[in-house]
Amino acid sequence: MKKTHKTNILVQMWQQRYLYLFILPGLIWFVIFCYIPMAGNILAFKDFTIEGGLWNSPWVGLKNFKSFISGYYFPIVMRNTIGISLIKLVFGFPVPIIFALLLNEIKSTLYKRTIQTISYLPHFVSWVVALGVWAKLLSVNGGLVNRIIEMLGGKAINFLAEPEFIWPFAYFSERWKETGWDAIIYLAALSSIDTSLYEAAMIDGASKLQRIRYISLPGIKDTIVILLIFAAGGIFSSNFDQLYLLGTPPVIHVAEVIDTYVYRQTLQNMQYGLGTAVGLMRAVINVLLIYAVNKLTKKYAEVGIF
Amino acid sequence: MVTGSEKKFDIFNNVIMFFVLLLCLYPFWYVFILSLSDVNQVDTSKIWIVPKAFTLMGYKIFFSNPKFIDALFVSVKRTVIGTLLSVLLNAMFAYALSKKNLIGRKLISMFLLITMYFGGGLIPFFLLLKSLRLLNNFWGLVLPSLYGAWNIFVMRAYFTSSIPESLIESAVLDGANDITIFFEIVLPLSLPILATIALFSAVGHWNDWFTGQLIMTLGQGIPLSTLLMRILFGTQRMVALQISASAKVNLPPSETIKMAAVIVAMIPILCVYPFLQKYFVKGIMIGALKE
Repeated sequence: MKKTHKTNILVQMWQQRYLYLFILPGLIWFVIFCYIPMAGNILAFKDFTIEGGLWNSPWVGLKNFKSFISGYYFPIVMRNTIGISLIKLVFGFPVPIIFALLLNEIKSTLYKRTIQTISYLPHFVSWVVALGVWAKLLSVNGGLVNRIIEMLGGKAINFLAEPEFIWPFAYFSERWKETGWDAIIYLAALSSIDTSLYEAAMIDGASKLQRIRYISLPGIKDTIVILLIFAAGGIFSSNFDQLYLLGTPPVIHVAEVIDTYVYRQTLQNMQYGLGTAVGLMRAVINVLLIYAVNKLTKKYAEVGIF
Repeated sequence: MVTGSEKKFDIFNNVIMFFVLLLCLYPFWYVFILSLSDVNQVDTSKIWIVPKAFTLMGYKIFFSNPKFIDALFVSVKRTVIGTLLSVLLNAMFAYALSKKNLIGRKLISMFLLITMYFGGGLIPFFLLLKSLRLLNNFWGLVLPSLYGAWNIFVMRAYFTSSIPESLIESAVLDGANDITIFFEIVLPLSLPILATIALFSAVGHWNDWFTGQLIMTLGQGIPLSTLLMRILFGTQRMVALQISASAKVNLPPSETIKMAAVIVAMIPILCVYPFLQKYFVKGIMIGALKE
């Protein structure tokens, strides 16, 4: 009985041989490019030497973790990572929602579609281009923003070299780049709201703002909550491209985050053990956050506490 | 039924949208007019709306400088090869995974899912590329982003929801095997999702400067994105000087060249994404539902 079951599986697998052929290169790729680096995390517990390499370098226990936590950069990097993420979350999260609600009120489809297409543009350019463009606009030598400040009687500010402007600019540039893109999901949720609700409200004499407040917003509430929970789960992730490029010497102490620290301070100085330890810490925290977030979303979906 | 407050709202809304458009377009326009102005002849602060001291020098130097041409070539090559391979390989994987009776389906899905949430970190990844001899190697720009669990899941969702089961069943009755079914039925019916994944993959390759920075340790064979990053943010002055020196111009309009390079880096994206809008919006929704 058992034997026939086994041969049945083998027969079925033989029938599916082309499917396995489709999957095989992928499986090999995932092992090499995802699972081997995962195993490479053992370097976090080793003192990397050139001769020893990954496998034969001596074990050092938690030394790398300790030296990161007691090191000069630890408080700076933690404060920047969490601080920048929080600013982006608190002030940034509502922006695409507001944009979607306003765009949804535009009647002409062509006009609406055009605005949407143009609002995606900053998303599709790289951070190098985006920040290159803004650096030009904000430059002290004739940049447009400073020209306007001077015309209004102010003094030119070298924005990207002033520490107090880095966090606000990190927030601003990310919203500039991603608002249109992030609004896609809200717009889709808005388009699935039953239009008869709006018609009924209009007959009852509800104003546009009231319709937004009492129909549109509740209609996308679930989407908002789920995306908010996920955004909160990303609090330890930072935007490497953006913060690496913003992190010039005069402002590095407010721009260095965990990811840029790993690249700039450890990889480029060949402190591989230390860098792996920091990366591993971040990865573990992230997994825990995602786990918590999933629990929260499930709870929300079940109980509907909001 | 249009009351005064409705009207006020519409005016307010149009004003906001006007500023959104301005904010999204003007920065790029500004760079565009700077790329056409000889900034050594005029004060940059005088340039607002149209180029001043019009010149095509920036673009001429860009397209006659081997450094730029090589980088452009690397970018085009990695984008074309990387995108074609990615779309095909991820689609093949996704098709197999979309078969409900595939033995080991759950296990393989889990195997992919893990890679979405937990990774090896930068340094183990770098050491891997080093031991695979992918440093200073063109394939180092292509192979690391060949597959992606998200791509596979989104494509699988599309295949299961949008390809009629009956079509595949009748092909099986006609004696077609999975390879024929995939290439002759599934792929032609999946253009929206293929276009979406191709767009994301192509934009990813075109814009990615970091891989080039990480692996091209000898400075040769870098893509345009990496070169642009170095010109704009890296050892700026040095690179700009080198470029103008080799261009044999007396007074190098280095700012003009930089801005021309930014525009060249943007143009392919500008030409592609607006036409794929209806596809990728759908792709995003499928991906969001999966989460």
